[in-house]
Amino acid sequence: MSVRVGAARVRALLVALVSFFVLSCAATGCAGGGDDDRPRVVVTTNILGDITREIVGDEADVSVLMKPNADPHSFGLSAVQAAELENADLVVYNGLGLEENVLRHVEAARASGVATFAAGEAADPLTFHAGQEGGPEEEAGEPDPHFWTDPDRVRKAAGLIADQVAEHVGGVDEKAVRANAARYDGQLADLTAWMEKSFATVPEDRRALVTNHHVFGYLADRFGFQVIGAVIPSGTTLASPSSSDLRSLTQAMEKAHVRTVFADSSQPTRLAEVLRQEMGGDVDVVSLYSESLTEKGKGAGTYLEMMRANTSAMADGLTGD
Amino acid sequence: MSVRRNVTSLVPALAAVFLLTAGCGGQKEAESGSENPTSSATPHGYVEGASEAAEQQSRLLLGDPGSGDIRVLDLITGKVHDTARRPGVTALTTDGRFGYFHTADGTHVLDSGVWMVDHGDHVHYYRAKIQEVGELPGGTGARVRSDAGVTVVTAADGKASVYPRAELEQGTLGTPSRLPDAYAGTVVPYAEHLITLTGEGGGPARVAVLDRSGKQVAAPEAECVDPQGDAVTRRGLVLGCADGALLVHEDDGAFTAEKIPYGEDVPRQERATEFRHRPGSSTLTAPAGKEAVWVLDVTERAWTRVQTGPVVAANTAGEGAPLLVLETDGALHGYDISAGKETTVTDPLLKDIPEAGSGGTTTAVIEVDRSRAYLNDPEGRRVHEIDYNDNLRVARTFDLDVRPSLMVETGR
Repeated sequence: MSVRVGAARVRALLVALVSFFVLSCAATGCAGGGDDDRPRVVVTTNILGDITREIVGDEADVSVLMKPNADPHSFGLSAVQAAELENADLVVYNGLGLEENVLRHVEAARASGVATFAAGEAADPLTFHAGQEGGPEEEAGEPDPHFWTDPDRVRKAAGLIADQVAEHVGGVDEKAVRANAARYDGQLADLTAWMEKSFATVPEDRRALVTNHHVFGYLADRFGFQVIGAVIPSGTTLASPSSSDLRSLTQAMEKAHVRTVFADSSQPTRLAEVLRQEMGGDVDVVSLYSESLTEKGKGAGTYLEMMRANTSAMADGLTGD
Repeated sequence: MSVRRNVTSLVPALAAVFLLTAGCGGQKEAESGSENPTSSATPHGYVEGASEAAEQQSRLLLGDPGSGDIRVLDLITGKVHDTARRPGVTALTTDGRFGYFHTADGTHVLDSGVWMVDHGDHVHYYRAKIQEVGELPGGTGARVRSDAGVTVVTAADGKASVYPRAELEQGTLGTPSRLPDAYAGTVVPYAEHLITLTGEGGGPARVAVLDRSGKQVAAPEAECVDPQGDAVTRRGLVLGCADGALLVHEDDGAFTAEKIPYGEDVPRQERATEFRHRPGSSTLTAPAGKEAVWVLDVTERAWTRVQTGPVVAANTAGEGAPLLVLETDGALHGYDISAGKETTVTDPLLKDIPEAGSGGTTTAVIEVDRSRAYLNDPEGRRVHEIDYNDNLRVARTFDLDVRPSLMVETGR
C-alpha cells in the first residue's frame, strides 16, 4: 500500500509544480503561451543577442535562441522556439551560412511576413582565405560569416539593427532606441581605439596568429595581422609524439617567427611542453573566445568583454618573451 | 502496477506544464527535462553528462570471446574501464560511437561515450560516460549500419529495422520502424536515404534507393553480381561485386551508380569482400587472396593490387599514408601503395603467430585514425599504438587483463 502513497506524493508534487509555474509566470508578467502585448525581437546567436539587447534596452523583449558556450553552426531549435520566431516582430540573425540548423526557420518566419535582418550580410563581408591562411580548406572564396571579430563592422551592424527595430518593432520609443544605439556606438568606438592601442605594442614582424580557429579573418584584416592556420596535434598523439605530429604547428610558428599558439587544446600544458621539446625555448598555448559568449561572469559574458579578453590574450601572447 | 500507470500518466502532464511556461522570456527550454525544472540554462545540443572536447576523443572497445569480458580503453587518459560481461560474442562492429557485440541470439549495444559530429568545415568531438544501451534483436548474420539520423539492423533473412539515432543517444533502443520488404543486401543509410540491393534467384542484384520509411524512390541503372562488403565514404557508398566495386553517389538529390571494375577476371577467393578504411577516408583496403591486398582509391576510381606477404589484416589512413599489413610473421609491414613496394617492417608485435585469413574470432585487426593505428595482440593481452607516419614506430603499448580478440575504435 505504500505504493499508492508514493503515487499520491508524486501527484501532489505535480500540483505544486503547476502552481509554481503559474505563479512564477504571473509574477514575471508572462501569460503562459506567450505574451503578445510586448513587442518581441528574436535573435539567433548570443553575440548578436548581446548587441541587440544593448540597442533595444527595455523597449521590447529580446529572446536569444543560442545558449552560452554553444556552437552557432550546430544549435537547433525546440518547437517552442520555432513558434517564437514566427511570432516575432523582428528576427536578427547572422546569415552567411552561420546558423546552419536555424536558417530554414528564419526563412519560414520571413515567408510568413516577419521582418528579418541578416547582420553579417549587411556588414560588408569578406571571403575566406585558403586553408593555409587560416580558412577552412573547402570554403576558400566563400563569404566568411564571422564578421564580429571586427568591431567596426559590428558598429555598422549595430546601427542597422537600430534602424530595423525602429522600422519594424511597433510600440517601441524610437528616441530611446536611438539613444541606446548612440551610447553603444560610443562604447564600440572606444573598443576599436583600445584594440588599436593594445595591438600597437605588437612588433610588425610578430603580427601573426598561429591558430586552429577559423574566425579571426576579420580581426586580422582590420588590425593588420596574418592568420596562419595550423593543425593542433590530437590528444592521443601528445602522449608519445613524433616530429611529424607537430610539423604543421612548428612549421607555422617558424614561418611566423612567433612562440605563441592560439588554440583550443584539451591539454594546453602538455602541448606547450612537447613544443618546447621539439623547438627549444619557451612556447605558450593560449586559448581565445571564438564563436560564442560564455555565461555572465565567465570571461566573455558580453561582446565587449569577449573582444577585450581576446585582444589582451593576443597582445600579451605576441609581445611577451 | 498502479504506480507504473499513475506515474506514466503524469509525464504528459508535466511536459504540458513545461510547454506552457517555456514561452516565458525565451530562455527556458521545453526539453530541459522533467527531473529538474529550475535548471533552464542547459545549452542546445547539450547531452546529459557529455562535454565537448577540442580534439578527437578516441576509445577502443575490446572483447574477449573466450571469457566474455569487455573492456573500454580510453586512449586519451590511458585508463581501462570494465563493463558487463557478454558471453558468446562472435563479432564486434561500430559506427564510430556505439559498439555492436554480435551473438547468436542478438546484438548488444554499448555506448562508448565518445563521438564526432561532422559539420563539413569543422567537426565537434564529445566525450561522455560509457553506458549500456540494450539488446537489438537479430542474431547470427545481423548487420548494423548507421548515419547521423538512424541505425539500421538487417537480419540474416533480409528483413530490416530502422532505429532512431536520437533514442540510442539517450541510452534506449526506442521503437524501430520495420521496412516493408526483405532485401538481398545490407541496408545502409546514406545521404538521408537507405541504399540496399534487391534481386532473386541467383541473378545479379540491383541497387535500390529507399526513403527512410522503406519506399523505393530511385533505382540507379546498375548490377552487382555476388555482392559482398560495403563502406560509406565521402565520395559515396561502395559495394563489392564480382567484377569490381559499385559506387553509389548522391548529388543534389539524384542517385547514380558507377562501376569501378577490376579490369581483369578476379577469381572468387581473391575478390574484395570486406572493406577496411579510416573513417572519413576514401581509400579502402581488402585482402586480395592470401598474399596480396586490394587498395581502392574511390576518388580516382582506381584499384591497386599490392603484392604482400601472407596477410592477416590490412588497413590504411589513405592520403599518401602507407598501406599497413599484419602478416603471419606477427610483424606490421608498411607498403608504398603507388610503388607497390614494402618500405618498412616492425619487429614481431604479436605473441602468437596468427593464421592468414582465418576469419575466426581470434584474428587481429588494424584500426586507423587520423594520427595513429591500433593493433590488438590477443595472446599477448595488449594493444599496440602505431605512429604510421614515423616508420611504424610503436608509440605506446597498453597491457590488458583480457585477450582482446575483438577490437573497434570509436570517437571519430
